[in-house]
Amino acid sequence: MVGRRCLTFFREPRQWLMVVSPVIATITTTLFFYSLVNLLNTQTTNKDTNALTLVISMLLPILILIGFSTSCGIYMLTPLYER
Amino acid sequence: MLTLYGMTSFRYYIGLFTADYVLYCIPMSLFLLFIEILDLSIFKDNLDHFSFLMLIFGANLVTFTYFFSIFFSDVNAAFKKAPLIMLFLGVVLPFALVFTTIATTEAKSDKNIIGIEGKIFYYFFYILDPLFSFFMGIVYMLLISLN
Repeated sequence: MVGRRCLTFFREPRQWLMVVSPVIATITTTLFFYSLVNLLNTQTTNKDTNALTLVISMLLPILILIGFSTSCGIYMLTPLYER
Repeated sequence: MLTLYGMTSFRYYIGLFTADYVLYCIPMSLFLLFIEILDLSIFKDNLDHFSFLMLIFGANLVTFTYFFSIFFSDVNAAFKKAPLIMLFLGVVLPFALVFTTIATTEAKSDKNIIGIEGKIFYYFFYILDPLFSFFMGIVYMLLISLN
C-alpha cells in the first residue's frame, strides 16, 4: 500500500506542488517581510533585524497553519479515488 | 477492489497513513531547514520541541483529513472545497470563537481569564482540531521561550 501511494504521488505533479506549497507560501511571506524592512530602512540596525525576527517568529505558526490547512486535500485523494 | 483481494480496512489505512506521513515529512523537513537558514532564534533554541510538535501534528493532520474525506464523494470537489472548509473549520472558526469569548468575558481573576464558555470552546477545539492544538502548542512554546 505504501508503494502504491508513493507511485500515485510520483505520477501526479499536482501532488508534488501541494506537498511543498506550505513551505513555498511561508518562505514567500517571510521574504516579503524581510524585503519590506530592507526597502524602508536604508540603515538597518541589529535591533531592527531582531524585531523583524520576532515578528516573523510570531507569524510563522499562522503561516504554517494556513499552509497545511490549504494543502491537506492531498491526503484525502487516495481514499476518495479508491472508494 | 482491494477488499476483494483480501485487503482489510485496517491494513489499508495503516499503509496509506505510513505513505502519507512520509509525504508529510517532506514539508516538515523543509520547514526545519528554513528555520535553520533564517536563524529564527526562538524556534532554533527550541528545535527539539518544535520538531516533536510537528511530528505529532503530522499524524493528527493526516488522520483528521481521512476522517474529513467521508464527507466527500467526488475527488475534484474534495480537491477544491476541502482546503477552504479546513481553513474555515480548522483555523478561522476555532480562533474566532475562542478569542471572541476571551475578549467578551470579564476577567474575574488572573487564573480564570477565559471564563466557562471560553474554556468549553477551548478544550473542544483543543481535543478535536489538530490545527488549533498545534497552534496553541507553538504559542506556549514561544511564550515560555520569551519569558
